[in-house]
Amino acid sequence: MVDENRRNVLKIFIGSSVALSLGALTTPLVGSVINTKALALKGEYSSVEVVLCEDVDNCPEEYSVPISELRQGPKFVLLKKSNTAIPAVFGLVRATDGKEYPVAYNTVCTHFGCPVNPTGGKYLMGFACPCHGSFFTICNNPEGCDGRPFLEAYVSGGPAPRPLRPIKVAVKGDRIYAVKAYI
Amino acid sequence: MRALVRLWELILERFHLKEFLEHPVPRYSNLNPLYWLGDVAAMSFFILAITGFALALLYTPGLSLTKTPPDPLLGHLGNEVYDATQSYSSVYKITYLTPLGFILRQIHLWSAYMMIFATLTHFFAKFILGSYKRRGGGALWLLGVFLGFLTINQAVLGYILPLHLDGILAIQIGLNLFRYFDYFGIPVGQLVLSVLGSLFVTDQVIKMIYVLHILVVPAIILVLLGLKINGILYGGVSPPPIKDEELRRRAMEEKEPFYPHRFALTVGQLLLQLSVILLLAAMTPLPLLEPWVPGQQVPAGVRPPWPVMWYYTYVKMIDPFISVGLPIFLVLFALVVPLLDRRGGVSIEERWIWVAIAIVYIAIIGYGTVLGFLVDIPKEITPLTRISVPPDYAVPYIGTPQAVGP
Repeated sequence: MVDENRRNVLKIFIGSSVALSLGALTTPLVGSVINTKALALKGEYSSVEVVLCEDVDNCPEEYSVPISELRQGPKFVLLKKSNTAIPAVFGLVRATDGKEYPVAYNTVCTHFGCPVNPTGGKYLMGFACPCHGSFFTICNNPEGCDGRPFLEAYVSGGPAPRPLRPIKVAVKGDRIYAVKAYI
Repeated sequence: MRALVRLWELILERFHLKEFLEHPVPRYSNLNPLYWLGDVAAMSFFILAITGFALALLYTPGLSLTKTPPDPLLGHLGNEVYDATQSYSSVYKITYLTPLGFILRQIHLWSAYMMIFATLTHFFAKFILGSYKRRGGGALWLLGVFLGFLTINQAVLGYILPLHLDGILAIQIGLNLFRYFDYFGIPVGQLVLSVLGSLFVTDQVIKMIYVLHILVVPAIILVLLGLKINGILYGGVSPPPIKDEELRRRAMEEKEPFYPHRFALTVGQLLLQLSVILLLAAMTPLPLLEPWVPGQQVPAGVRPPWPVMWYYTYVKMIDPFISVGLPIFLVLFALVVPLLDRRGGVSIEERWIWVAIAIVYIAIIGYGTVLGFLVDIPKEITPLTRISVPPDYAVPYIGTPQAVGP
């Protein structure tokens, strides 16, 4: 009698955890087949917006890099806001229109979270993940590359499911400031 | 001398230790090696607790950068002083500048590996013996699966603590792996973020890992281990895998007292285990891996240690949405095994199909491990291996492009 009860409790526990996990695994599969729009709620689930400074004019120096330094090559800055640390790489992208555009990206790989290495020499061209071999290429065509917007670090190889999280930058004087980041 | 003997007898009597020491243990379980592996895991845990206590006193968690003297062992020549995090510097001091620190760390690392290995082999031994079929065995099996999960957790947390390059990569993966649940609407990534405040390693994160590794997880393991030992003490060990009724009944009736039979076996096993650990530490000492500070280039070809090598292999081969679910599936399968495999006896000829499933289970892990050491698998993008993310989840490029140059 008692044994039967225990078995039932175990069954309920295990059954519900199996159901939950199966549901969690199959939801995106089914969702991607039926209607992806239905799944998306307001805001980006997997990214959290961090506002580093409201305005460029009162943005602290620690969130900035001089343009002259970026001309030597991409630069790493660890952006810190309260408890959050955001590893950022600032760089200049040479677009196909011949101009230089300042950019910054959160260098946490969107696959499993490893720190990615910037590629290219003086100009930033993309990122490579040393852990599982994802490649990100920065779109340098102002018209967009195959539907990808200008300056997006899209996945050009490897297992990463989505582009690198960008950081919004603004130019003030001879420095480039990180204004808003996604983590 | 006489007084001491009397004191000892008094202790045995007053604390009812005689009942424990003389509790009957079936003879077959003392003779069959499949019944010894749990002891190896438990003893490794106590070795880890003792060495871990000393290491916890010497270790300081932290990410602030300090200068570390050049180390010829790591290939730093001349007077090249390099930056290292506080965690790394303190582990460096323990390993190379503290008397007996090197051997202390070696014993800790090798017993950790031994504990994982013993846990895995114990799991497969009990799978093959069908231990969950006896009364009370199912509950012990569930406890065991949970303990195995905690053991792997402890190994990963401990691997992170020195904050060498591999440790940083491990913590980065740990912080970001569970964000895949966010795609399904289960805000695990958000929870990690709200608890730790960051998805990149910071002082708070490493402090949390330290407390989890030295206090929280070991405490849970200790309590569950006590529960499990109590269950075995009063519920008995699993029945022998013999089909013949008569033989089986006779095997179960033949019993020996715990002391001295099983006690001697356990002590001998512990001594053998300690010598194997010392031998491994002497023959293949595990060096402190290279340091890494945020912003440094990460060299290619970094591999995880062997307990998670199989998972690394599958992560590189298949879609992230499937590979994140793979270990969850393996653990869940292990949890439901007692409910699926209920009929028949425990001998191998009666349940060969389950033995075959156990072998497939071992093979999945073994194949990945061997493959991971042999080759580096480049991922092929095919419609089958790639499940694209809903476009709404991707953050668009948010900067307003603004040219600065010519």
